[in-house]
Amino acid sequence: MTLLSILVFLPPMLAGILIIHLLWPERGWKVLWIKVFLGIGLGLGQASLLDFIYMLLFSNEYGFLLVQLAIFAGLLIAVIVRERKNFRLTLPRVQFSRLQIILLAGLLIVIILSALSAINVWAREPHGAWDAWMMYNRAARFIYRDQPGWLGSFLHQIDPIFHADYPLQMGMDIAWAWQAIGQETQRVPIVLSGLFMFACAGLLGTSLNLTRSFGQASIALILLLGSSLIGNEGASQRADLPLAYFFLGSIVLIYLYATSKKPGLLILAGFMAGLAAWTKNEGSLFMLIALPALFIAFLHQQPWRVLGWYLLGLAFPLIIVLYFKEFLAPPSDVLGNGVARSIQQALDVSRHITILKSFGADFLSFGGWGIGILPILLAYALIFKLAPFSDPRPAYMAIGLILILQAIGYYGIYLITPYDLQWHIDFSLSRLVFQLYVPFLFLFFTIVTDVEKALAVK
Amino acid sequence: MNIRLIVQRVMLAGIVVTSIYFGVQNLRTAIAVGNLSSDPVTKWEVRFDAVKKLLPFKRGVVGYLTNSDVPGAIYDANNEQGEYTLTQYTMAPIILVHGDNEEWTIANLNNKAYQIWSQLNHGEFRVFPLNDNLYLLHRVAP
Repeated sequence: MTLLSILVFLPPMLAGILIIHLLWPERGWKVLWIKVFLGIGLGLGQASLLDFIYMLLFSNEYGFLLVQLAIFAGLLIAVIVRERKNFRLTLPRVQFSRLQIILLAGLLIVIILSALSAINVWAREPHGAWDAWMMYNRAARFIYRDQPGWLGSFLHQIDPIFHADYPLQMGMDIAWAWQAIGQETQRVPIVLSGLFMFACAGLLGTSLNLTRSFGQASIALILLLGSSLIGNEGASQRADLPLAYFFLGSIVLIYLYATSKKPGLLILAGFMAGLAAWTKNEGSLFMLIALPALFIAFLHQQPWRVLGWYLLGLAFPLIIVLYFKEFLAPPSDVLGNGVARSIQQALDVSRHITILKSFGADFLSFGGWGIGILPILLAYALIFKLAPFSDPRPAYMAIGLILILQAIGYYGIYLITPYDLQWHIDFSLSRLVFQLYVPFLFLFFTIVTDVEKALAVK
Repeated sequence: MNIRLIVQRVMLAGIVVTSIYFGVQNLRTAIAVGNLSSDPVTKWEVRFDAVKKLLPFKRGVVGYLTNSDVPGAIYDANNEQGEYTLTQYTMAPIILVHGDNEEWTIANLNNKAYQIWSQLNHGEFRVFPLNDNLYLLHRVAP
């Protein structure tokens, strides 16, 4: 059943890789690996969006797998037609230094440990963590178990604690895969969470390998996988890791655009941001704050054109998210306080102190190492020094602004939350930090000096 | 070899070793945390099999009654919330609403609470007693 669950997601993932290649025809082995890891998430995302439309039209998921197979076949033909004269296969020449071999060995151990932890979590909690079964797997059941009446999944009678207003990225993917397999098996959400873990780690590693060095990619991955974060968070079947993945995908593509000025990369960045909005409500914030961040960062490089390409990619998922929010989803509870009470809460100094204290505490402890990983990164930057800023400054500015504005957005949500503030912080802050930690790792290791250069004996 | 280079090497080695150490610790903790055969969600699903079979429809709104709805019954608020969410997940796509105002109601009551409730509501509901403190109630009087 696990193999079947992987196979059922194969056509959309392959389609995703082909979409990436069509919009970014760059060649080379390093680029190919990024395309694979971007394509996995993009493919799963497009399948979820299209299944939503399919369900609106037909109210059942019979035949959706055929739609995905047809899309894959169409894209494959398009790629073959375009590549038929250019295709040539040259195997990469891989040569590792001693430092790189040591880092690779450490990384492999950490990968194995992380995978074993994840497998243990999946075996112990096949339905996922509390939030996962309560929100995402529950949504999938509502859709799959009564497909003709699936729109009843969003009735206002559903208790707000189940968050029927949450976007349906995970729910739709799980539901159509159950339909394709013909059985409601927990292996599907488990495989889906595993694919996002794999894609997230792979994207971080391959993007740093392309933009910086193999050593830089290895050390970033060791930090990501070496804490309990990705193994536990990813295996829990919650949407925070897929969200972090889409954040990472979008900022990596923005970075690559800044270095190559290929519009296709910005279209893909916009699409990834839209998929973030289709995954969790925090993704909508990301999608919006990326607009001013891009405008400011590319102020001297045709900012309106930059926004245009980004919006072009964003348009399709944005329309779906807006339709869902406007016509189907019950009102969001987080914004349920009303304007007057929200302003009153925002002016309450004690709330600011509580939030800042919690942010500070999380900064000092995040990662489960006793000492927070973020202070360790600070020390790392001081010891290894920043790389010379010859690289694309607009990319650093755009990514930095996006992460800062996103963090400010989270701060604002805590200010106006209708829930008990301390409870809300305790319940969610570490996951919000995790969402930003993954793209931050990419930014951090593009800024600090490559380990190979730093440790080269002069 | 200058001092900076030594510090850099120590830092790098420290990160690799710490990652491996905490990877092992995390795995050990995960193994120690739980029995692989005692997933509470799976157990809860089995408990509600009989309710699903008895309910005459697949999608709709059903009442949900627990100890806290019965005056005088003892209850644990956290448990009740947890059980309510588990029941909603299990019963999907049935929508659960608190109380017994619907035609069909799932009652998740301990013996004492059920006794109190049945004295208060005698004749209003046809009761289907199920396993493990579960009852399916069908309203027969408006």
